[in-house]
Amino acid sequence: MSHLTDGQIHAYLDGSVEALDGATLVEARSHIADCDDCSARLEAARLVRDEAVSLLGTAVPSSFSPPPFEELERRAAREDSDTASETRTGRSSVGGRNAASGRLFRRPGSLAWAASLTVALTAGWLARGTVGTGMVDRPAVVAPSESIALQDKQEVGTPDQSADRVVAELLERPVGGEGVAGEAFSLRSAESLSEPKEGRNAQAAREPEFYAATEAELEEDGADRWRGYRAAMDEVATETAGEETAPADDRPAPVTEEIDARRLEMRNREQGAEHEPQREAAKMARRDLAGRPSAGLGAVEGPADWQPVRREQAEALLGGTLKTVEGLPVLSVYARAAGAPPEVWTAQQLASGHQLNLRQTPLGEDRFGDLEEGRNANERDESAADPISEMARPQRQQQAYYETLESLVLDGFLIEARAPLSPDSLRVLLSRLRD
Amino acid sequence: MPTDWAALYESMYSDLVRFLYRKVWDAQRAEDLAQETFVRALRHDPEKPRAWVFTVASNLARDEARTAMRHRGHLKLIRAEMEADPPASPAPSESVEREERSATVRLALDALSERDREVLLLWDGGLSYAEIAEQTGLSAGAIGTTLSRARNRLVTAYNEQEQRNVASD
Repeated sequence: MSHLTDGQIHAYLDGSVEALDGATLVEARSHIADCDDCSARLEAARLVRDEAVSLLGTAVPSSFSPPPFEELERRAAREDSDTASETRTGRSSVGGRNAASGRLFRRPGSLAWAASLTVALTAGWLARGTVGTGMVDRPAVVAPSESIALQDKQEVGTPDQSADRVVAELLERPVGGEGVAGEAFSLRSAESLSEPKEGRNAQAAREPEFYAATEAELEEDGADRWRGYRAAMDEVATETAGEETAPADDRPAPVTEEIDARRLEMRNREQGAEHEPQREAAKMARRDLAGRPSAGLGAVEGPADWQPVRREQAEALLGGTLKTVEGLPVLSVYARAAGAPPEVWTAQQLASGHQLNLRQTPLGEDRFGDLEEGRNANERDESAADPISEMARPQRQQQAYYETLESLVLDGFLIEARAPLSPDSLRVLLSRLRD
Repeated sequence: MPTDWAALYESMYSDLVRFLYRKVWDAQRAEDLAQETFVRALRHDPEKPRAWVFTVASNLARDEARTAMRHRGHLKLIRAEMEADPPASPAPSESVEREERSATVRLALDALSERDREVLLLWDGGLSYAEIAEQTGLSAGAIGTTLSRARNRLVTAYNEQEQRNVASD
């Protein structure tokens, strides 16, 4: 037998038959008798154990007096009767004594979590009609002014104007446009949104400076500018008081662009009152639901060098298969062939309602040239009209979202992915990239 | 075979109070918790009474510690009052030494990991390796190793604390 471990020595010392069965115990005894080393360790362990026992012996109450056992029995009986009485009167759900076995039922307190879960699920189910989550529903696209009106209605607490209700009303209007790459999604037509509407015109009248502001100006988050905007807005509101129903033809036309009402609602709900709804609406109004800078309602035109394409067109351009994450709906596919090498940008919708953006480009000599120069592929296109960069910019500034950028090489393509996910989650998603 | 709770109470009460005292460090509370444990045991009549009693006692002591945390501020006030108004007659030197040693052992026990401390106190409470293993979730073979480590650390921590006490005097 080899030398005993410390655990075996202490078990031997304590006479533990559980740790050392009969045969092992005999072997251990024989080994200790023959092994000077283990014999010395056993003596050392004995000293340590006795010292520990001695120390623990000092950490005891100076005196204590146990009450008579009968007193405890009476107390237990009294508590039993109290419990039984509560059970009979329905004041408590605690179980009584099992007459057959003389033992108590298991108290149902451990089932409290199940009751809580049931209540929570029921409440959530009942509330689903009044609280629009918009997490997995197909996004609706509305004008910024509609969303602003939605926010206004919600802020004043009108109960019958829930997000679902407003979005449902909006979707009843003419819908135009179809998603590229075979994925249909609803875009409201420019014509339908261009119809004169009092609410939108009134909003535009109150915010001419705001609507006239350039993209760059709107993205400045300085407090001074915000204060100036508020002052201007208040001034105009005072001037135009009572003119809500006037024709809007002579007023500055609002920029009619698409916006995802549910997304805006979710964001504002998350950010609370720190972000002005109108300001957020205007920021988002300049991008469509895919984050692409908008060129017009219902239209699918992108910037000049990005064109919407179908999947087969994208693959022809790339000279290979288009990589997408299996199981996620494809919202749009854009391609840029102006420069070399060609690039294809794909937007896919995550279950959370956010988007996964993929940019695929062949690994040509130019790409290797970039890498040799030490430039990041993302940096290279930062100044260009890159839909992914455009998508990322407002998210970074608002600091309410984070996004992760991952790059990988697959089948001769450099694929860059962006999504508001953790790096691990994004990597898992990318592992599902398929042709 | 029904449990002879009267005999068990007689044999286990002091062990249980000591076990609880080393967790709550208050003799009266330790006794209260021990009695509460036995009342519960009488009502539930568990199949493995010794292990059950120590498990419930350990849980009660944990709850007690949480309550004590909430009342820590109040206890600090009481302690400050006691220090401002010391007892008229000093305690006998033997009692003072005992208190000091007990305080040092408490610090040494606090230096142990929770698992080591639990195993050590359960063993000192009279539980077998198998009962300790059942309560702590360790294997019976690991109890000896854990006990070996806990005892060594307790003695080492106590000696180190003693040296610090001497140095501070």
